[in-house]
Amino acid sequence: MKKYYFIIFIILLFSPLVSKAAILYLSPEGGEYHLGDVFMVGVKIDTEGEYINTVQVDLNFSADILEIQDLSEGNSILSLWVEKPKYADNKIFFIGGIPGGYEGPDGLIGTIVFRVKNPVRNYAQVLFEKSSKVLLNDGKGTEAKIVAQGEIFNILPERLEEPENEWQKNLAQDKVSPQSFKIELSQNSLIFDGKYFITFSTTDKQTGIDHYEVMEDRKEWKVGNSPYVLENQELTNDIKVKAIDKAGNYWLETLKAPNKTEKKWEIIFLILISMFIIIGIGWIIRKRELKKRLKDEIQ
Amino acid sequence: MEKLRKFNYLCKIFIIFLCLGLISGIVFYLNVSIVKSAGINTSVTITACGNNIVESGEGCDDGNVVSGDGCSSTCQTEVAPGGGGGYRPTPYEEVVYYTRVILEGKAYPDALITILKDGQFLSIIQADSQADFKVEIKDLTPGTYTFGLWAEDKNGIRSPTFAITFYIAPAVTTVVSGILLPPTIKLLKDIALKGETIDISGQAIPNGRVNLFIYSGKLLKEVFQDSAIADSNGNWYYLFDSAKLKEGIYEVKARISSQQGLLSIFSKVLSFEIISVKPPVLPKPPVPPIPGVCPNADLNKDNRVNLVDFSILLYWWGRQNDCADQNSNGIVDLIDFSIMLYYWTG
Repeated sequence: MKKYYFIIFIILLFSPLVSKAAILYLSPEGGEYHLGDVFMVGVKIDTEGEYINTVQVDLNFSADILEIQDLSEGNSILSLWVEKPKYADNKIFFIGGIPGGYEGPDGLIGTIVFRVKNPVRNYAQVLFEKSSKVLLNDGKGTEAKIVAQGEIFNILPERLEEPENEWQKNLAQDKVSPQSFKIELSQNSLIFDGKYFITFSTTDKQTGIDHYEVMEDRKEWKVGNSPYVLENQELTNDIKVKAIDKAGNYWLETLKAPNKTEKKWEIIFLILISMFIIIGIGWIIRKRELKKRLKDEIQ
Repeated sequence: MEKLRKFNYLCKIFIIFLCLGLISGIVFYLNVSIVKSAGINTSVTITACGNNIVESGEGCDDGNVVSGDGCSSTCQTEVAPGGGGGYRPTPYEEVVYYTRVILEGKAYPDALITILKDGQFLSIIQADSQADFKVEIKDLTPGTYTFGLWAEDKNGIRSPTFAITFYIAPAVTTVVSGILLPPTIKLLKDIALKGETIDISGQAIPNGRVNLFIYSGKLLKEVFQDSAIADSNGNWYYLFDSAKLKEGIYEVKARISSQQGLLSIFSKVLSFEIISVKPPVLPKPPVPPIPGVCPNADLNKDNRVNLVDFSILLYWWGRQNDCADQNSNGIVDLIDFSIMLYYWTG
């Protein structure tokens, strides 16, 4: 019988080779953190040779021990986000895609910044939910097989020295603005009741985009996302969009107002100024001529 | 004793089944591996010029990207200028360190190639008469980027987007070479009477070998494979004898291999049907455009798939909309997003 058990063992050993699947995993693999430490966990994908284009990652974590300080899309392989990375209670959600697809062993999807808030146990876990999905870049949205590997982190009591804060170091080092981008003005009967809206999107290669701000009345910046329905449907003002990263660096783009019309008083003011200048110049010339004539007459 | 013998017998059967499963599994795995690697094993190489490491394709690497110091800005050894003075090493203060990317490869003769950076339109370049192209992208900050390239052939047919993601290190020139854009593909007719020939054509690199694959539409099982050679202008065509297949719906796609051993990703996938009885020819009334249907994820029908279409998709997210619902499953969801990303033009 022993030989049968041996054969079964061999079969079980090699059985993972039989199916091929994209691997969702966390980086680093495990680690030790103390109360108060702030550490970063990268959510990554190994596509195992497949071309993928859409990722939905749902995670849960030990919310009694860890709290989320931030979620970053900095340096992510995903360039279009259906929703910005978000969290609620003990759940974290990333959902986005890569136009044209991605194939590789260590594609960063996003980064989770945890803080150890309460070491009630000596370990904390971060696990992938079954609802996580990866879709192939095949023009049909075929779901790829996935294998998800969560992590367990060792949690220790407070350290004697200052708690470590990896994220703070990253923020301090980030002096680079987000990438330049283009604002596009559109109108479509399918959406927003046919109102004008703008679209924009960019990436930040360091700490990630924090938020966008839009200004269309020359006075007030408003936090907004793409697509952004314009308040001024007359399109008479320049539209400015600011992409701001987690470290506070920003990139500003301006879309010139398609129907720019100067206000009446501005035009009147300009006409008056012009008239004054012309009259003034004429008066000076006239005065000089008179002086010259007077001089000539005296001579 | 009898029980033990029975248990032993059952164990044997169980192990035989397991072994059979394992063997079929390994066969399946090997098949999958071959098909998959054939699908994505393209021949792109990425080197970093300016990192002081001489990599494949580089003649030298002196840690900068300046020409005139014996090692060119693309890391090729420079001949010392004549006049007996030899080359003058550039003083350290004059050395320029900047981060840039060079993408080079082959498409089709005189093809227009659209370059995307992280999904956003960057520029359009034109391949030369030999289908070669080269583009230099400057003003980059270090980080992970995805560059996408798609080409339009002389008949206005587009290739799928070839995308490559890699990390760009500071102050080096990252050279991505060996890019081979997939061929374009066109069917003269999408319904053929069994026995008729089906004209499959497109554009590719001049004299390249176009490998054709035909799959059964229902099972997605490969049923036919052959190849054609593109002419010196990059045109390729194949006359497929439909008598080789049963009646049904099929999918066809192609990929190309160059004489230098480069390999492309697959072309777009087209469908055709083989029928046994010719349907009666009825006078066709003019077909009005179907308002709800938006093929290839072009939701605003401007012949581009970009952020505006993505905005329309997001607007209908989780709801029903015939235009945005690309797979017609009654809801705008992740699958429709994936289909849009496949057809993305920037």
